[in-house]
Amino acid sequence: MALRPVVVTGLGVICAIGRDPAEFWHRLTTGQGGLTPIQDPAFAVFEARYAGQVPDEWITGQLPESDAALDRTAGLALIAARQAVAQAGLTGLDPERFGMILGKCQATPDAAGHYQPMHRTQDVIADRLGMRGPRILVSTACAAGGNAVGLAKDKILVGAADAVLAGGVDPLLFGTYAGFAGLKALSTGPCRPYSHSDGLNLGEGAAFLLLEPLDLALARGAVPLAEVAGYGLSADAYHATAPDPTGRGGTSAMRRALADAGLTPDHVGYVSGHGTGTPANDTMEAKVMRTVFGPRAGQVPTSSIKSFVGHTLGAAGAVEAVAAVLALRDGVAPPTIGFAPDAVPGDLDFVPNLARALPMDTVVSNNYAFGGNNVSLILTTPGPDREHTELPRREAVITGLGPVSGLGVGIAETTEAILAGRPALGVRPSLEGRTFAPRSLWRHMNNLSRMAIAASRLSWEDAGLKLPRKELDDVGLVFATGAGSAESTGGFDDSIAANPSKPAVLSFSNVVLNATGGAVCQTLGLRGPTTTICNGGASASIALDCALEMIRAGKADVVLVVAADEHVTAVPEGAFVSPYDRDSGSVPGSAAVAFVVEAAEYCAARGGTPYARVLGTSHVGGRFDGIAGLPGGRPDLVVGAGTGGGEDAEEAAAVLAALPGVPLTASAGLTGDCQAATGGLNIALAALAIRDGIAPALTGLAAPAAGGLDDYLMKPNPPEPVERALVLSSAPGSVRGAVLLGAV
Amino acid sequence: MTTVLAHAHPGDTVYGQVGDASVPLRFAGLSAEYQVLRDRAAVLDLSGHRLIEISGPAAVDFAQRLLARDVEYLTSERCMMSLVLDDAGQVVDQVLAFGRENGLLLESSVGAGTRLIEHLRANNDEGVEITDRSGDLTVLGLEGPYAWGVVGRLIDGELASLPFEAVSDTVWNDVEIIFARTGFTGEYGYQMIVPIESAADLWRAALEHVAAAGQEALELAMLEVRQPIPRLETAGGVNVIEIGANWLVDVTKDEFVGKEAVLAAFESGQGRRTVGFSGGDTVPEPGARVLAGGEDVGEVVLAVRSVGLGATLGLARVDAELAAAGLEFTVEGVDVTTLTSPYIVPKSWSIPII
Amino acid sequence: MTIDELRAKAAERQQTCTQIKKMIVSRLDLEIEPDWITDDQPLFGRGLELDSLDVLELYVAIEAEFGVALYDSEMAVFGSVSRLADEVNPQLKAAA
Repeated sequence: MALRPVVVTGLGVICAIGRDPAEFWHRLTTGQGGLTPIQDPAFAVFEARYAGQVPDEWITGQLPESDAALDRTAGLALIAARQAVAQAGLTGLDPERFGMILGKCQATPDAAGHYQPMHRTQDVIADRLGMRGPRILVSTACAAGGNAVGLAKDKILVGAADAVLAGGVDPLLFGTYAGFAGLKALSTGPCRPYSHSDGLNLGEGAAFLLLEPLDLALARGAVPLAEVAGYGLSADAYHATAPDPTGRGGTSAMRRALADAGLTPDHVGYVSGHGTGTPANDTMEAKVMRTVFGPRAGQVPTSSIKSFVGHTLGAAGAVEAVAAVLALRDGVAPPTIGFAPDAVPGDLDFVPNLARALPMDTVVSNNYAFGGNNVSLILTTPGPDREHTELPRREAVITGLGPVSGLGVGIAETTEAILAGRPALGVRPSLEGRTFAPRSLWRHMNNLSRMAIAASRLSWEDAGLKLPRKELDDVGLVFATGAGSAESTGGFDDSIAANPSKPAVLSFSNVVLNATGGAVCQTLGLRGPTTTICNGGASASIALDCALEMIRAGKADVVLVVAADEHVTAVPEGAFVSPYDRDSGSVPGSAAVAFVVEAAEYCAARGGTPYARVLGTSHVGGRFDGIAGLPGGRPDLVVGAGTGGGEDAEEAAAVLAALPGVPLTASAGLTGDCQAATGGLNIALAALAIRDGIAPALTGLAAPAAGGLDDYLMKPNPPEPVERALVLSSAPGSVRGAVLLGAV
Repeated sequence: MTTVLAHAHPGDTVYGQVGDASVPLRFAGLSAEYQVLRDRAAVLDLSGHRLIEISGPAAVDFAQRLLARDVEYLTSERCMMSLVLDDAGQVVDQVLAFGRENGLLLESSVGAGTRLIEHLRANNDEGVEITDRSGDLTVLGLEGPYAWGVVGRLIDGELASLPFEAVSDTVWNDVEIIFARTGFTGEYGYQMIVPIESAADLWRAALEHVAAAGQEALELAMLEVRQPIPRLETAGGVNVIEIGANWLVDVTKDEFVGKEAVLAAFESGQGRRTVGFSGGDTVPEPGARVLAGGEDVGEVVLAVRSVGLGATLGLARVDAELAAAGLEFTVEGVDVTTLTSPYIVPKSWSIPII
Repeated sequence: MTIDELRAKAAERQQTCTQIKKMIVSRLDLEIEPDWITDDQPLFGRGLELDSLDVLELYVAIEAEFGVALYDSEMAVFGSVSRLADEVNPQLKAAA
């Protein structure tokens, strides 16, 4: 029996050709593009001047006075989000059942011009709309928007939410513009995808789709606009910025999406292409069309609405998904405008210049991103309500650990440091003299990627995995990071400040948050489903959730979860850091932690030795108000999210109240607060505690913020065997998570 | 060893003994074969390249120690070219190393297989399995600015755009083959490692799209882009630095056979250096003296008549301080000029794969 | 030319080549000594294994170091260090 159908019931969009879905669709179907020269004199240094800009009054005109102080990114997102919720007519939903997945490519400034955490925009929107369900910031660069829609479907299928707002947002930023100019990727005029591929135009905007289960939508009288029939993710494992010219990655994303939807290429009536207008993309994409559709490729119209709105980066997949839903609803394919009249007639149908009536039941929307991340989304005409089955459960185990921190490189060195109680606060891991990748690749890797690659390879070896090439094609990778590479971001920003027409292009290629995930895939040759999560300290537990969903949906048997963050400025000397101590401060640190998650039966069949089973996970969005819903079963150890500052006191009090007598500990006292990597390390060390009976101790704790010293783990050997361990994660003000691990 | 494709070649093919292999030197004549290789695409009989499999648990450790470049993470979808050196830093061979699931596959340079396999066996401290696969596998090459188009017609268009030194295990005509993007001449290049019993079929299928080029055309095109031709450039006890093949050695690697000797030669700054030259109509023999301002400063390594330049083209090994382009020397009374590499710009550099 | 004149001419080219090698090594963070790169060595694909991102980085470096803008040049200018020397120091080519 089929799985529970998930449908789109609301749309929201704001971009260069429209302030709402109606205006957007009118201009798409009447061929009125929105690429115009940028008037801001700062951009005069660039030869290329065209972009898809949103007029300021479209933003101010749709925001009430109370939202006037929001930064541009939040304003764009809030407008599109409210439109989608309004169209869906969604009211009175339990806030904890209402989630948000946001795709975003760039770190964006607040109203005062300072960088904010990646997830801040999402928190602003979610809080204003009263959402407390799952909250994920996905940052797979230009594939993020489409990726978000797919992850939202998963959240509904696993029963974590009853409605999810999925979308993407990105503003037009000067630095990003300079970076693309430096890559020689910008067209000097309005871009002309598929016919005169001489470069892209950047754009800005936001789009959201409201997803809910078909049965619930019909029950409350909503009108389904389209079914999200399936989606597919893939990794090129090829290059930081260039797509795999063979089209292998794009092909496998589309094939996986079709398989997920239970459809074949013959069902597809229209393909919304990525169509950036760069020669590398457009050539690769044509190959994908020919490979997937074979002799029928010429009969499957494909067009690029980037010819209207430019490349809106993290929003692109969502903006294009909105267009795809409308195309499906009206039976009209939007054209590729600017199509060169003298283009050599090829074998493919790019819907040149004029919209076309086209009866269709199945639409594919494709996006291809830096870092070699690809996504295909399949939307179909909504069917009637029908019987469905729950996504079967599939037990998963953690089988390999690869911690790389100041404590050591690999699980053996880390264990030794924990047993010796030897902290390494804010100390960067030393990889001197060791390469974990072919030198030609290693050379291009920044420090964050090197740490992550080392961690990945070590976890892989620790798991004892030896997979033939063919199986590596299906190994998944979920990358978790709070802020990505501080080194590359800093290097790029410095180069722009010095001279915007001489950007550091190697650094720019590593500024996208998923660059490190892409580098790991490239190094290890992993081409399975891949995504990147950026929710601060909760990134790793959310990444584990994504890995579990990939395994449960049968999309992968083995998924590598890699969490990494770094800090580049000096750490204050002599700082006292002890999580849950009321006198403690916190210091930032640098680390990467990888762990291998496998389907339990897959691990058993290959004779692997798991550390622990994953018994359950849960995440709650919004402000801290106690421990996130526990997935059941009393643990013998709690590895908390404590960092020495922040919400330590509240967390300790909540744990002690909910689980009296269960020792609480945390790892940040040993390494400093390494954001996503600390979240990853806590999961890895909880698994270690279960199998090997060793856990990080709070050796420096003197004045607990709650309870007494005997409520905490003071020695690295837990008093009782750890049958179950609870791991807490936290991105303060955004999302809190809980992961329960158990003995095998 | 005669080529396994001998029965597929025309009767008037000119063969020559190169090391341990008898290889086709010319099919239709050097000039025509060369033009085809530089202008369109040519199929190459590379059966004189020996295939040697290294397997067993220590295969990678062994290869890492014996090869001068870093093969630690050479996956089954990559290959790379590397020198193999002896303890004295002398070149044993220049190999193409393919990562395999169970170890590596080494492809020797033409006619050098026997010496390579003896060297590998003599240094097998790790106890790996060293298997000569030349009894069941052989190599065909495709090279030229439009070789990618031939790949599309012959096997699969997707493979044509593989990146340089990428490898794909694929199927041609129901036969499993190893397909690699490689290249000796600066043009788009591909190699296919095929079972011997299918080699003639693949050769004939390729000939439906392209002409064949022999060893002479191949080596001329290699010389023009300064791709080392080990059999002609390594004689006479010269070291890697003198040959100018530094890029086929990775000195940042911890350890490999010959590393100390190579480093010593590099740090000493002694010895001569190699530079290309052209001029005149006569083709000097290896060892011919090179004069600068009347003084003997070195000797000719090899020289041929270049079809592309319409003049003599050669390599000279001269005093390091004179190893530079743009100088006038005299060789056997003929004025020659030293050159900047590449001596011929490959067309492939300005032709995209579509 | 006398041998001393030839030496002087060779030295001029070698000096430009050395400057290029130092620039490549420092700009691209290579772990090798600049002199390890030979004048005739190919830079892309085989040889130094530089890629398209490295080229963009080198364009900027070359303009800063030599004041020569190569942005729209054919790939052949990167055919070897010595070939690049001809571009950044036109005197070498003129004298040849």
